[in-house]
Amino acid sequence: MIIAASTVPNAWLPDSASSMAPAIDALFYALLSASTIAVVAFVLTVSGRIPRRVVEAASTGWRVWVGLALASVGLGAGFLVGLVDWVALRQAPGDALVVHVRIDDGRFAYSIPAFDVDAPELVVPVDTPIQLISHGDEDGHLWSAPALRLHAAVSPQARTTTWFEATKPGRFDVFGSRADGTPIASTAVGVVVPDVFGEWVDERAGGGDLPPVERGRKVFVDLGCAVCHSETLESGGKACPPLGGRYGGPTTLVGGEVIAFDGDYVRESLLDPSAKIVAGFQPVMPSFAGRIRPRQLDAIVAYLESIGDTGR
Amino acid sequence: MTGKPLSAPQSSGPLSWLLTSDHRRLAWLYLVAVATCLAVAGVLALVGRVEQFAPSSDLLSPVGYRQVFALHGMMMLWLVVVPAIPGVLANALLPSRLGASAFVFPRVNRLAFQLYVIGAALLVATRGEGAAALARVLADPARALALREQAVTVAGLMAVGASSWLMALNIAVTIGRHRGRAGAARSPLVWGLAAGAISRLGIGAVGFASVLVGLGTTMESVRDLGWSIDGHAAFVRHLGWPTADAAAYTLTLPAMGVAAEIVARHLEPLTERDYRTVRAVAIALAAIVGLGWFAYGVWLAIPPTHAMAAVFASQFAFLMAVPIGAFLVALVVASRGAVAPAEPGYAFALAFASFLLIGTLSGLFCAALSLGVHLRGTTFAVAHLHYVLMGGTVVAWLGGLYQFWPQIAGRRASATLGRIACVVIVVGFHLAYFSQFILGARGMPRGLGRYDHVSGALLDGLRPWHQVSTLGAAVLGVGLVVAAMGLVLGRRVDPAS
Repeated sequence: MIIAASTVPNAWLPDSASSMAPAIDALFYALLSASTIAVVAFVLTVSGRIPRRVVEAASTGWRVWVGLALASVGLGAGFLVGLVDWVALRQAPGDALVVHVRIDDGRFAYSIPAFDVDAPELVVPVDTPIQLISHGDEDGHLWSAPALRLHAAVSPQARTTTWFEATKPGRFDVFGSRADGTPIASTAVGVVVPDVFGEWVDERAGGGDLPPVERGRKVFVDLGCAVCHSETLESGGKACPPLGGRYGGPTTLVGGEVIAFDGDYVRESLLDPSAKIVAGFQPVMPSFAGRIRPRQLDAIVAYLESIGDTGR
Repeated sequence: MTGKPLSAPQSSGPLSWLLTSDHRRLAWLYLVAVATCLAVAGVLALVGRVEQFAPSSDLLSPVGYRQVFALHGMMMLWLVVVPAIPGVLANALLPSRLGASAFVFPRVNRLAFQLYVIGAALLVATRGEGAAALARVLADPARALALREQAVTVAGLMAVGASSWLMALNIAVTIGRHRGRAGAARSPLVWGLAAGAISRLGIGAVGFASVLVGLGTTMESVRDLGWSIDGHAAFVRHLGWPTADAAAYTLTLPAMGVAAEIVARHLEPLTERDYRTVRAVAIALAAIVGLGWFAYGVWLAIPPTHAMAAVFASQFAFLMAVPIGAFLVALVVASRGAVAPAEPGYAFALAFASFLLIGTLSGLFCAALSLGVHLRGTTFAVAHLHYVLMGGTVVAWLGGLYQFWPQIAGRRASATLGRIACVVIVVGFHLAYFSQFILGARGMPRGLGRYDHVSGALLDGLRPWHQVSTLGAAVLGVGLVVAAMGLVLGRRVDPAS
């Protein structure tokens, strides 16, 4: 599913895969060019390749001040470019997708709240600003992705925020280590096109790797269903129809119609709750259209089926 | 007027040596101590580099690796780089250069050496554990409470810090007292030592106070008075980047003086133009001292964790490149393109200039705010600090030893071995540390002994350069041994010649 592209380092810097990389790399190469010129000039002067009178002429009178001024301008430019790019690096775009990074049982764990995803690997869509919030445990850690020019040194119990926008799909290595130097078996960052990202999210939303029934219970609680619906045979004082012992049996609606309490009915109730109201109850259930993914719907159906005989 | 060489009869016996306040004997004591610490710290680094040769080497555990390099760094910084030039070269050369018979405070000089020895013993007592803990505190002030468990190491640091401060006091006062004498005002060595001493006096006092405050706020009773953890964390942060950057310049100032003095010796007789160059050098050194003090003053006002502190740190580093660059230009121009320097002292001085040049330029990479985010936690920063501190200070120290060995030891160092040593050291140094520039630019974090948890192409891009760096470290070690041999195997000679 994740497109495997090799990251081929060029002479100095690793593969450039983030939107800020060109600016950072440009400054690097500018400084490198200036440094090379300086070192070559040094070697030529010290070894006598440049005639002595040229050296002496170049280092007297007004030429010294001109040289000093030029050097100062160059240095000032280098500083300013670094400053401007740094300010941009610190401010994530407002519509950035938020990802939280933490250490869970010795490995990194990534959660994307917007999609209710919690996974041991990080997959992000291409050309989308991502805000990465790293949470330190009691020791602190390092998380760095050279190809994305990201480097987060996280202090214990602290948060470090950074952002990036990946510019091409691929797998980009992550260096991870605890503060004492122990490497953390790191996964890479996978960057994928939005369609593939949607599939990845669908597979993981709402409970991730749990079996369907447990995942369904988790969604049931996370989405707040348990607030209004009891999971036993009785309503227990709650305002809405009890859901225990219902699946597979008949349900009487307002107006007298009797329908089967099956998967289609459950899905319709979540997406369009006012379509079919159970007799004796009010149409107060909110719609979950747009807030619930197909996999979560399947999970709830599985869960309700599991409590369909005797309730929870 | 030169001091007596050691061949002349003096009070002998170990006790007289241990209790001496004769600056010439102290120079010898410092030389033996510094050389020993250099050897130990160098072996530690070699062990660490052997671990990094292969991605999944198991020679050291990750914690052990950190301890090895933390101890290496602490020993090299405090027990070698800090005392090398003031302790050895200033003690051996300064009074005679000034036309004085002794330092103004000879007993303070002795106390400084004794504190150095005590501090050295304390620092190595915990065998890396204390050093690693301190390194973590510097990286992360919230852990400053851990300082309480490292009392031995902290006490050792205070001792060597006090030693270095007392030495600086002695040097500054002695130069101040005798500055009117002929030759003193025109000696780059005197200027370099004066600048380093003055810089050290100011920054050392602030640093010392910072540690005391930091320690104080780890105590409950002091916290009850209202000092928050954040408050003391800011003080502890004074010991790490960016404030350590300002302090590091105090270490290169004496080295710059030594190198300029060596070049001046090779140009004798000096013309009026050369004296103007020396004045330019002096102005550059003064600018460095002034900027360093100003930066330290700013750190007292802005908590180093504030965003503006990072901006100022970057600005300061770029500014500092101007006087350092001016010094290097002056040095290079003054060398007048002398071809094929035959004297090893001169060769070392030129090597020092080349290393300081690369070190300063690489500092700009690290200081640039946007680029620095990518580079500062990597081995690029490690390479930068080695070019400045090792290639800068230690190489200049070696040059001073070779150049002035007749005065220090009554022997002329072996020129052949010295030249060989210089070439081997330069080659080994670049192999060892230029590869770290490349590794860091490719993303290799500092402080990781194992790097097999990255895949494929990234690992292929890292592994060969790690191997080159380990090879270079071995070559550098050989070069240092040859340099020592060249000094030891020198021929006896009358120092006046």
